[in-house]
Amino acid sequence: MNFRKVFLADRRMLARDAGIMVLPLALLFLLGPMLFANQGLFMELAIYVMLADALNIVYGFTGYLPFGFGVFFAVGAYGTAILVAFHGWPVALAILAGALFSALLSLLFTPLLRLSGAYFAIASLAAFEAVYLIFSNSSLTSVTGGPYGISFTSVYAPNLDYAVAAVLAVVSALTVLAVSGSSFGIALKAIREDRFAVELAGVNSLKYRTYAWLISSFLSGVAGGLYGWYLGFFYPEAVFSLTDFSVLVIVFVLFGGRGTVFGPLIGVAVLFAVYEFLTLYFSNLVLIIFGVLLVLLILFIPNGIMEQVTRLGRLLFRPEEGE
Amino acid sequence: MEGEVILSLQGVTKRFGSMEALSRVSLSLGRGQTLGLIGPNGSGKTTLINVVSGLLYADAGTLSFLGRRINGMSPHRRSHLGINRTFQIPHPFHGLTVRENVDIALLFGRKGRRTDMDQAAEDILKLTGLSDQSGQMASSLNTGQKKMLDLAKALATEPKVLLVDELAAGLNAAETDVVANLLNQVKKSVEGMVIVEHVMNFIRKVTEDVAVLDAGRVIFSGKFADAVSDPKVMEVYLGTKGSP
Repeated sequence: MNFRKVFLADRRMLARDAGIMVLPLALLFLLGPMLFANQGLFMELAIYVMLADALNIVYGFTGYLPFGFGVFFAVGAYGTAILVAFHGWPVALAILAGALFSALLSLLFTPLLRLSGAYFAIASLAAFEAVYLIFSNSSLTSVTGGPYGISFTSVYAPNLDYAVAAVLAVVSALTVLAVSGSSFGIALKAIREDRFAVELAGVNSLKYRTYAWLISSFLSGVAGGLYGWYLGFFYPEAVFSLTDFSVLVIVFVLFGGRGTVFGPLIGVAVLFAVYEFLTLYFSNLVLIIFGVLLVLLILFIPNGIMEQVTRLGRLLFRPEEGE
Repeated sequence: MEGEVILSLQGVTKRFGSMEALSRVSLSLGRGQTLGLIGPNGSGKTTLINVVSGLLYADAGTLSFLGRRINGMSPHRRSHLGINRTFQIPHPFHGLTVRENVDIALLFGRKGRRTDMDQAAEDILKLTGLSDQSGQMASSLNTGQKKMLDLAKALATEPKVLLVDELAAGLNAAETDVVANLLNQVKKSVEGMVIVEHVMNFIRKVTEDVAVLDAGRVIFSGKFADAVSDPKVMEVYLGTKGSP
């Protein structure tokens, strides 16, 4: 394998970034629950890290915003739950299969990738609603649990699920780093920049968007499976929540900086803490505040705080290249 | 015509609603030929380039490249076959560095062709005068440099036929000379070139073969010297006697 052709980024830079990424995440997941005595909070944080990374691959790198992105999370949760509850699968295998269901569903939705901009965002939203209606349908109670939810508390293991989620959150962040530094990642970024010119550079944009879509849906499916395992029992609304698993994740990614490696992680770390604080003290206002925040982000820092941090770094450390 | 036909358009028509932007256009490019494509604004020059490069599909007619029909073929496949282009309004990948822009074309445009990427990128950046900007973001380049980056990306795919869309537009006389010299150098590395241009002096410095388009139709095809005395071409450019 020719490293230079697969990874355009410098090998040492990649290793350095991996170190910068893994160390704080590992410390956060190891020490967080001890300091705050609330493992559930950090479990959700790990889930959001995975979701933000998954969204970053498809939205951050290719520029295609799937508003109904949470559908892959929900299908991952349901796939895991159904296989464990109704078919007695071991939970690890069920999570993997659930994620594969999500990837298969995304494959079914690949015609949506022929759309772009608002059309794509709205079509993905419609897909979300359609899948939700199927899973919550009472006539499918024997298959999905229907509106009555699904229970698989037999495999409930609060410490193990947290450990697995923490490790997979780190793996998902490293996946984004690997994608970002690879020739595949740079092709995705070029698609985001100019979907016509990229074709002339020899990139089959539909094929690469499909790959990104598949990786993203698989990662979301893993996150969904872990979340289902963590809950042990859930109603359809708990995993098919557009606000919790689409809109919030979009805000996290936008805030941190889409298409960057560290941005979504910073977005999750900062805004998840803010969200939890607001939910605790101003639960009636939390969605309004986040809605306003989304508008302000798009208006004033559309490329997220990572861009501001990078710009500041250039001004401080390389003034001759500053603007 | 220099040699065997490598690019051929037979009766190509492109419509936008009821408007025919190209009307039964037939043109051919021979191996080793550089064809200047001229005509007034709105005559269909850029549409023709878009149809050949695959950004638009022809509604009727046949496009063939090296004897192979390419109607309906996607732009990336045409790029792999050896057709590439520059844009009138440059299309760099703004969020990437100049070097990354060229790297993408080197990696994906040279399908199946092994190459020393670093050397190839350096050569192309040197040729297009962008060596010093290699690490800069494409968004920080001026318009002239962005046009050169477009050319660098196209060259990185090792095109057999290069379509150049108004590369000299907006440049002063000295800059135009530099670009003309550059294209004369590029000619040696491609098998054919089509140059869309408004600046007649520029066309004359690069080629003698021209085709004149007006309202989507080819009204002249031949030598530049004959075009300037052709009554139809004169009418298109200067109007008829007594017209307002």
